[in-house]
Amino acid sequence: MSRPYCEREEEAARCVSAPSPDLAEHLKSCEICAEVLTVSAFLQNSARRALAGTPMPSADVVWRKTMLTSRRAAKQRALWPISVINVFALTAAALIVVWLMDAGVMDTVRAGASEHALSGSWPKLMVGAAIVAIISVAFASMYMLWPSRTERKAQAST
Amino acid sequence: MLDSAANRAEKTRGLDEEAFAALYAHTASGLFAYLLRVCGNRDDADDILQECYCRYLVAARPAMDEGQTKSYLYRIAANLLRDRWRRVQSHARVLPGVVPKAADGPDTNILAHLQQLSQREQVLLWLAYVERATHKEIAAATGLQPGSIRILLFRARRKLAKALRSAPNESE
Repeated sequence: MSRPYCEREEEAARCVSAPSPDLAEHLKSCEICAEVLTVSAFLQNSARRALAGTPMPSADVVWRKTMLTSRRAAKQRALWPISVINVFALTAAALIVVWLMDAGVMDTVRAGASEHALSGSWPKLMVGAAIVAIISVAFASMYMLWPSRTERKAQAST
Repeated sequence: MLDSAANRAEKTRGLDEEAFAALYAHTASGLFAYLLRVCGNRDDADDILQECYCRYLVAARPAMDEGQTKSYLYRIAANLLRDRWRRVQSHARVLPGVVPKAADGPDTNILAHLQQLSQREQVLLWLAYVERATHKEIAAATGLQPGSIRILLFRARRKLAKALRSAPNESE
């Protein structure tokens, strides 16, 4: 066989059950179309036999399952910034504790610190806390306002 | 609220429950038959079919005609089948003898013929001769170059025809 295709193979694949007399004549001399007919008949028969007596899952079941999956995904998306902010807040808290210890504030507090000793560290602490709060609020707002990747793609495609 | 968000997200992709039912009616039977043949058991075919449509609905996808939708679904199915095959292989390694084989029955010979082909050859032949997909659609489903489909199809067809010639009653 010198070439891997025949102009009539599409026709051979279509007319599996009843090839026209003309095609039947062609099949005697064309090995490719004969192969196409054999393979098509086998596969189409195989598909029919597979489906016979095997009920498919209903569209309704698949739709409900998808909605459930979507809800779960939406829930995960909604909870994602909360868990990030939790980690962020815990890290910030740990850093502040380290900073306070480094500044000797804990020792001072434990020893019954004087008003003078605290006055140096607390303003810094307040500024630090304010920065952390602003960053957290900005991050959360950005998340609320920014459409998800899925929504952006859907908008682009319509 | 999340429920309505999921519905709204689906509507933005132009598919509500009714439209999905119509799409499913047009596309599911061929895919399900293919999965039944490739998996060899109904439970796996059921699971993979449902997962295919779930992924299709959830995915951000452009507008598609029926042929493109079928290609897309077959592509998802091929990925899921590959994952399943890997899982089965690793189970077979860890727990030899526990992985069930396809039951004996009137279709055992059909399965045996199909299993002589690689997964790629199976999907190529199925798309071409059961789904009547064009070479472009087959390329989209398999991730192959459209120009190489003709020759790959020829080789796969030849392989199956050779196997069928050795058991001629199966082709009828």
